[in-house]
Order: sequence, then structure tokens, then C-alpha cells
Amino acid sequence: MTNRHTGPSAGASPILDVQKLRTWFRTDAGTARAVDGVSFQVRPGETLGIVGESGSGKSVTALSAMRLIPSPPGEIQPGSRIVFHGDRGTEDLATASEERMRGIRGNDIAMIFQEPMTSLNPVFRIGDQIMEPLRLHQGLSKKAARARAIEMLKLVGIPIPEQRVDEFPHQLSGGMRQRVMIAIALACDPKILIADEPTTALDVTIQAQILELLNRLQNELGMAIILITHDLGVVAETCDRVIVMYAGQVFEEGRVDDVFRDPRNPYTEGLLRSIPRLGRRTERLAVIPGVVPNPLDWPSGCRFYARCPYAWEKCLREEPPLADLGSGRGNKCWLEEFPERRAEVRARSGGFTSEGAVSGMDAAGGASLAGEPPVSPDDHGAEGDL
Amino acid sequence: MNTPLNNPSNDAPGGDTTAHPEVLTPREPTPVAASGSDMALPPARGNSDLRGQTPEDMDVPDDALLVVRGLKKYFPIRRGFFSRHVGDVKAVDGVSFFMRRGETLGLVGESGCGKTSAGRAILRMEEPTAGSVRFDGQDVLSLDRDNLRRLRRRAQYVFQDPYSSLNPRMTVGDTLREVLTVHRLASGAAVDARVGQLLEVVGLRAEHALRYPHEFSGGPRQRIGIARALAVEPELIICDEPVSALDVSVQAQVINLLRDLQDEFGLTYLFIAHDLSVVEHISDRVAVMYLGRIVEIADSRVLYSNPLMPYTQALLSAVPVAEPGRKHNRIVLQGDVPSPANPPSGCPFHPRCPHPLKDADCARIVPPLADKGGGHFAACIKVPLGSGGARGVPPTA
Amino acid sequence: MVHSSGDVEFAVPEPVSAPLPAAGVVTRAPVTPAQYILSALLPGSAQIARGEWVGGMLLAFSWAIMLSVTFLARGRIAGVFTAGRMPIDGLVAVVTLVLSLVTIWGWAMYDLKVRARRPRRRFGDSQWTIAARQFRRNKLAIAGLVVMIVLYLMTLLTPLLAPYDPTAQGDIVLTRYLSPSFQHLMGTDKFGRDIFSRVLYGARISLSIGFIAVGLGVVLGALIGSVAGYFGKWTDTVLMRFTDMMLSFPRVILLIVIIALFEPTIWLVVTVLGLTGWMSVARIVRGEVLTLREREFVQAAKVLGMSDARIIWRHIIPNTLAPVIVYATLGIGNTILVEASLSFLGLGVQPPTPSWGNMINDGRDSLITAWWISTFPGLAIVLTVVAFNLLGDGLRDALDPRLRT
Repeated sequence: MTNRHTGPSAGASPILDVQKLRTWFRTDAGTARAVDGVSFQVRPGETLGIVGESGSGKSVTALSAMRLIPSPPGEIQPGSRIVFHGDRGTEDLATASEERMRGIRGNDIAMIFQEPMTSLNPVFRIGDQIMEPLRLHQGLSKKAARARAIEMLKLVGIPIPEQRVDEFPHQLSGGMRQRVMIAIALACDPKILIADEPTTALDVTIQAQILELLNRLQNELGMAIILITHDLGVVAETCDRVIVMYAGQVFEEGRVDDVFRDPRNPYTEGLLRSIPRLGRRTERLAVIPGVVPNPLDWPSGCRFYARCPYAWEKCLREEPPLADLGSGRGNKCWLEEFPERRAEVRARSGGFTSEGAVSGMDAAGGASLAGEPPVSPDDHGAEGDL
Repeated sequence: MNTPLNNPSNDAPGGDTTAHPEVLTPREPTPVAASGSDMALPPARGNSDLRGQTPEDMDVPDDALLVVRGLKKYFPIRRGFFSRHVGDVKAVDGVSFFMRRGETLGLVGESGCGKTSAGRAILRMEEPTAGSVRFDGQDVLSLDRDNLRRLRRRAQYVFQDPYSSLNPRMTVGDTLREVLTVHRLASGAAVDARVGQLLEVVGLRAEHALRYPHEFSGGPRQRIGIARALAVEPELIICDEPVSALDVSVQAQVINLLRDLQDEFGLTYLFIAHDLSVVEHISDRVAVMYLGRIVEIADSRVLYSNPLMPYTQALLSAVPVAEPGRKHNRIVLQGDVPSPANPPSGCPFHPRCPHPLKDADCARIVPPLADKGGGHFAACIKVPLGSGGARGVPPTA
Repeated sequence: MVHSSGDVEFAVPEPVSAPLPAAGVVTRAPVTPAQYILSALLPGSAQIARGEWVGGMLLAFSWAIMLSVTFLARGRIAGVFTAGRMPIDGLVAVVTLVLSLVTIWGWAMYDLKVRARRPRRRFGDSQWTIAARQFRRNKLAIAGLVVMIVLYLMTLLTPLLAPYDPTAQGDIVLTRYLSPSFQHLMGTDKFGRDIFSRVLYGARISLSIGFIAVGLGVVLGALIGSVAGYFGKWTDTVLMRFTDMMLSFPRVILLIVIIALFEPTIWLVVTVLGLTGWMSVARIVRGEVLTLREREFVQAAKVLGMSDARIIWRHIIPNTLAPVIVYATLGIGNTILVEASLSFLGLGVQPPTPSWGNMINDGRDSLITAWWISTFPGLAIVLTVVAFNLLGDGLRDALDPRLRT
């Protein structure tokens, strides 16, 4: 995580290569295209941040990589490829058998979730929950698995692990539970750890502990981490590369330093300008007007069109491609082809401004959360925005 | 009261202490004299400093709208067949502060620190266990039913969760209309006009009155919640984490809206939040809570540039900043927040405190929230008098 | 891609007020005057002509059935008015018949008019509207609803439909134990009484007992539950301990004891069933109220200075209705079963008044020789209970709390 400068080189071959991933949910109200053509790569030992708001499809992307999408209603569309380079050579997880996936989950690719309370089974001792994948995937004896469980608890910084191993989840605090979740995830020494909002439910001081822990463990164990979050600060401090998702698509990608110093995509720019920053007090925040569109009814053209100060007719009519800017940098925006537009709008109105806080509610309608298929509000088709 | 500073030893507000952990450098041992409210305290020694006025010692400014003193909210723990009272969860344990008319006071802290309980106790949504709350000179805690109702036209609350704060069975218009008619703020056709006006004030449109809450996403719902609070034309609004449930890209909209409304209607905000950057942005003064107590309170700029309490320092350093490579010395606290049912003795923060001078006194003495200089109050006996106030410039890269 | 220079013409950006698609206006073929006339002559036919088969057929069928009832029972209808003292149930039946005909005709026209004029409203749909839409998709639940409506219509129309007097005994030699035939659709029993007529009259008893007893239970339970939940503290403790006590009695044994002590009449049975059936409702409502009391919109109402009565009436009760409706629907089926069991044991409705339970009991001795005596009332119970359960399940799905945000 901090091996940003010494760690993975851009040239290293990826361990996970997601290509044109599309995960759709069919509901009574229509098809929610939660993830709609997402491609990214993860290299060994790096930390990739996936950042986006609710409804951007970031969590569905991660669940798709684990093939944990409930089906129905969810479905990974044909043509999606999730290429994993593991011990058994190259496999496409999008089409792998369910049996093979069970061998991969928890063993090659592990996952930790946002809510440490609900992701631990309350009726089992935490030791049993760490031992389970070890016995399942690695065929360890009960004794060996227990020893390894204690070792893992020690590794994630839980005091008196010999005692804690026999406790139940409710006896632990939120931060401790998340540590246990990490211990379970890392027990089988996975190559990739997917962390879905691992610190969102935690307090900021506990968040600092967990992020530091993940950082240390990555240095010690060398796994790749996919960190899914809505918090740009967490990405800036922990990730090597970042992809910015909006409305089920990748809008921008690149090295964290580059993307944060010089955001190319208007959405990234808006996000970075609209968050209040510690020690950077301003009178008014810049604002991205409007609301996140409804996954049942993505706008045509550029999906950020209605909220973008740089947008013009072309953006409404045609969807921009994800332009390759070299060295892993990508930007899905027509501004890459019409750079003078950016300067012109900035000169005229300043791009994202603090205006629009009060106006700009034209898209106040619907918007359901992605990943959670909306319960059909309408029998005649999609319930869209105004 | 306004007693002179206790024990005015001429420790000039030295320039030797700066924004960051350097403030923790040991000082010359200062003899401590107990006086006034400190009289009951056990004798301190060594480098402990108990001096400084507490908020209780001080006169309240004339323009104070809200004065809270010694506010306590205990939740009894009952066990067994006869519901025996075996202890208390001390959610709020002696909180004192005041708010000037038109200012924004940020109340920050981690979950379980009692910031929400404090906000609710002030408006008597939960009856406080002890303490006093004066709103514009009026004793809130002794109000009868009718007067409490009248108070609620002047002090309002905005809730955290926009998905739970609106009645799903009522249209937006009905929700607002109900408030207007219950308080007889409008009648007849004026009601609908006022509803439309309120919606426009918060950036929605009048025709949205016909819709149900489920037809809106989080940001617009929070606007409706704000409109409902504004309907009674209050002077004080307690905002309980108003943006923490919202998407990043709409948080700024709501924050700006709150500021605009403050300018337009001269509102006073008690802004409760866990997000330190949001609080810094919106607040004039900030109070930091830990385990039911205010541990530091100062002007926003002062507090963020010169945090005195080791807890505040750790809290600030733990906030991830969206600037890659920005160097800051992170203080990672060990352990978790202790249970408010069984808080540590002495300073509630001492088991996690990274202060190099931490000693047995910290476990023994409950540190008073003392003015460490320049109206900068901190509850730490290891922070010497005179280290308060603004220091240098905010630590920017 | 052409990398154009400064000469690119940009349109004035109006990103926020961009033309958004005017979605949601469901376009339908306009309704012609001919269709109106068609509909006026034969309700449902216009809908069928427009290709809306399901609704059209339903309307047409019910219209046809009601018309045939009118035609076949024309003598009795006349009899109702010519009788010296108008029989109250006969009058109810005639009124029901007229109202049904008017409703079917009116609904057909209204349906047509709505479809012609107003595009569906896309916004401002209440939770109930959404639930109704959800419910309409559930075919089984619709079937349950239709059966329920038919059953209740039949109970109201019984005097016009029943071919015989349910208590009139036939010729002890010639008409007892007749197997089903066109004369006696469901055969006759040992007194020569017509089973079909008795099943129809029994339906009145069973369905009204179910309805009234559950209604009583729901009102009582909702009252006790909401008071306990809202006021909490000792009120809650006292009421809920009482509820627990009531729940811990075996209901049937309690019923048997009470009924054994008094003379069993229909009203006693209804009252006792109602008074022993409120506990589950009370617990459901109390649970809901406890959650709602902590919901922020109730807190908001309090902090806005609204009275307890207003909060309960406007903010709490509407949000507890959904589970209560579901419970009541399922409860009616259950209560009908309990009443049948009681009558079967001879503790419910007393002969000669027919009830499905005592009819099954009547046929108990001659199951082999005259299977129809017990079978038809048994089937009636099964049909009714299944219908209510399907309806209840459908309502539960439609009123799912996931919709309630």
C-alpha cells in the first residue's frame, strides 16, 4: 500500500484482468445495468482502489469478480471476462464452474465486507470461523487449523489470541471484528484480497488502525488488494492505482498521484472539488448538481451529462470512449478530444462552482441503490427520473 | 462569577508549542494550586496543570442563544427479574457550552461519544438526567407541555437518516402541511403557497409536494427534512449528522444549502457530526466529545490548527486526506473506545492516550475542561496553561 | 478522430435542464364511441375488443352470471316484495344483486374512461398504490381474492340461490340419502335436506363468524398492542403479561369450557372466538409500534410539537396496517377452521342451523354409504381456507416492508 513507489511496476503481468464486465439485474421494473462494461487489471502486490458513489456499481463489480451475484435476478452477461492467473494457470472466472469458484473463493481470492457485525456468524466461535476455510481449502487437521487461527489473530493484532480464539463475535468491538474478518480472509494466504468498504462502518481512529493493518499485512504477505470505497481520502492514502466509477462504468483510471493531482474527468474533478478538506476551509464548496441517475434507466450518451458543467450536445448524443492516455491512465470523456472546451468553460463559468446547490434539482426523482435490485415500483416499465 | 484566572503565574503563551505533537514536550514542573472548582480535586504534582477557568466559571455572553450547563443523560442498566438498577450508561456526562445567536457550533466525536444524546437531551427528545439548558434565557428543562410546544417552534432538529425521517405514507406536501396547520402558521390557500415556497427554499420545486418520499433519493429527501424543520421558522436547528448518510457528490449540495439558509434566515446551528472535515468547513466553533464529555472546545480555526488534547490530535491525524503524498504524522490510537457504562477512572482517555507525560495522575484526576488561553478549552492536565489559541497557519502541504 | 482546433462550435451548455425523455406516459389506443356503446350494452366486451382479455372476460363473465341469477331467481325476487312481511335476508339479497349489476356495469365504463383519458400518473404513487400494483401481478392471490368475493356474494345472495329451504326435512323414506343429482346437486342427508342449500346457508354462518370474530380480534388486538407499544413502561408490562397469559391457554379447550358453561349460540361463538383471537394482533402491533416509535419521522413529529393522539393516528397507525391486514386475512381462514372444529364437536352452531362443521359431523356415521354429506361441506372449508391463505400470502408479498422506505 505504501510501496507505491517501490512496489508493482506497471509492466508486471496482471493477476486479475477484468474485461468488459457487465452485470445486469433483471427486475419487474426493468433491467438494472449495475455494471456496464467495466475493465481493469490488478497486479500482484498492488492496491487498486475502486471509488464511486452508491449506485456506481463498485460493489457489484467486486461481487462479480467473486461470482457472488445472486442469480436471479443478477446475471453476468455473456462476453464479460474475468481472467484470473492463479496456480492452475489462466482461468476465466466468468464462466468457471460453481465448484471451481468454491475452490477459489476464500482461498485464492478473499473478501472482507463493510459490516463486520453481520459478516460474522454470531453462533460460532471466532476460532471456528477462521478454521473453517483452512480445513476446507487446505485440508488442515483441527489442531493445525487452530494453531494457524491463533497465528492469524496474532498477525492482525488481536491481543491474547489464545483466549480470543474461543470467544463469540458479540464479545468483540467493531474494530476487533473487522480484524477477525481480515484474519479469516487472509488465513488461506489469498493472492487477492477484495475489501468492500472495510472501514465505512468504523470510527475514524479505528479506521486508521485497520488501514494501517492492511498496509502492514500487504507488505508482509504480498497480496494484491482491491479496495472499494466512497472515501477519496482513503484511496489517496492507501492505493497505488484507482479507478473512478460512475453509473456502472469506469470514468477515469490511473495512478493515484496522477488522478488526484490532475483529474482529467469532470466527474473526478467535481468529486475532488466538492469534498471539504481538512485544513482547507472555504466559504462554499463546489457542487456537482443533481443526483445519481437511476440504474434502471441510464441516460443515453455520457451518463454524467446532466450533471456536468462541460457537457455539450455531443455528450448527450454520443457516449465517449475510455481514452487511453498512456501509462495506465484512462479518461472516459469527450474533453480528451476537445480539450479547448475545458478551457473555454473554465474561463466562462469556472467549471464546478458552488452554484447549483439550491437549483439543479431537476433530476430529483428515483434512484435506487445498485446491487440491491429495486423492488418494481411500476408494472409498465422503468420508473425513471423526471 | 468571571473570576480572574486562577493562579496567574506569568507563563507567557510561549511560542515553543506548535501545532503538532511537539505540544507534548515536557515543561518545567509547575506547582499547582487548587482553588474554586478545583478544590475537590486530589492534589496534583509534577507536570500536571489544573489551572484555567472552566466554562462553568465564566459569564455567558449577552448574545448567547443556548446555554447548556452540566448536562447529563444516563441510561439505566437494569438486570434480572425485578429490573434491578445495576448501573448507568453515561451517554452524556456533564456537558457545558453556550452558543451565540447566528453561529455554528460543531459537535464532533466518534460513535458512542454521546454527541447525539446531547443534542436530543437539549431539545428534550429524551429527558436529561441532570443539568440545565437555557434557550434565550428560558429554562428548557422546566417547561410544561404547552411551553415546550412553543419552544419547538423556535428550536428544530434535522435527522441523520433521510430514509427514516419521513413518513412513507404521507406525501411531501402532507408532511409540510401538517407542520403548518398544527402550529397554525398558515391557513386556507396560504398553506399550499407556503408549502411550495418552503420546497423552493430548499432547492426543490413546488410540484414535488405531490410526491411520496420513496420517489426521492437521499439528497432531496434530506432537503425535505430541512424544509420540515424550516416550516416553523426556528432560530436554532440541531443538525444530527445531516450529510453522513448522503452520497459524496450530494453532500456538498446539502452543506452549501445549510450555509445559505443560515445566511438568509440568521439560523444558529448545533452541527453534530463525526466527519471532521465537514465540521471544520461549516463550524465557527468546534467541541470535541469523548465518552460523554467535551474534551476540547475552541474556535474552529484554532482547534484545527492547534489541537491541544491528545485525543483531538489523534482524531485529526487519523482523517484520510484526499491528497496523495501529503505528509502528516499519523497518531494511530491503540485499543477501542471504552464502554460508557464503565468509563475509566480519571481522564476517560488515559488508557489510549499517547501523551509522553501520561502518568498516574491521569488515571486519578478527572481533568477539568479548562481555558488554556484565548478561550481554548481542553480537558487535559498535561496541557499547560497558556498553550491555547491559534498557532501559526493551518498545516497545509 | 479529428482533433479539431479552436473553430469547434459549442452549443450553449444547458446541462441541468437538458431535455429528458418524457417517459412514463403509457400510450393507449383512444377509446371510440362505438366501444362506449359496446361497453354499455355488454360490460367487458369493449375491453375484449381492445385486446385487454383478462379484465374483459372477468367483467363479461360476472355480468353474465349476475344476469342469469336475476333471471333464474326472478320468481323469488318477486316473492320478496309480495310477501306480507319482507324477509330481511331476501331484501339484502336483492339489494346485493342490484348493486353488483350496477357495479359491474359502472366499473366497465369507468375502466374504459380511465384508459382513454388519463395517462398513468408516474409520480405521487402512494405505498398502497404500489402494493396494489404488486398484488395484481400475483395470479394466485388474485384467484384467492376472486374466490373470496364470490363466496361473500354467495352468502349475501343465498336466499335467491338456494334451491331448497335448508332446514326443511323431506320425505323420510323417499328423499333421504339421495346421491348428487340435478335435483339435489350435492345430494341429501338423513333427514332428506338438500346439502347444496345447506352448504350455501352454512357459508353464511362460517364466513360471517370468521369475518366478525377476526374483526373483533383485530380491533381489540390493535388497540391493546398500540397502547402497550406507544406508552411503554408499566402499561406495556401489564398488557403484555396479560397477553402472554391469554396465549398460554390452549384456545380450543378454553372455548370448550366457556361454551360448555353457557348455551351455545352463534353470537356466543363469535364473541368467544374474537376474545381469544386478539393476542397475536396485539403482539404484532406492539412490535411495529415499538420500531416506529424510534423511527426518525415519529421523533420528528414529536420535536415538531405534535400531540400523542395525532402521532398515533397519522404517523403510527397507517404504518402498522400492512401486517395487520395480512394477519386478518390469514386469521379468517384459521377462524373458519376453528369454528368448524367446534361445530364438529357439537359445541358451535347448533342443529338444525347448518354450519359446515356440524354438517360434516352429521355425515360422520354414514361416510361409506353417503359420502356426499360430509364431503361437500369439507370441500367448501378447504376452498375457503385456501382462498384466504392465498390472498393473505399475496397481500404479505405486496405489502412487503422493503417497499416501506
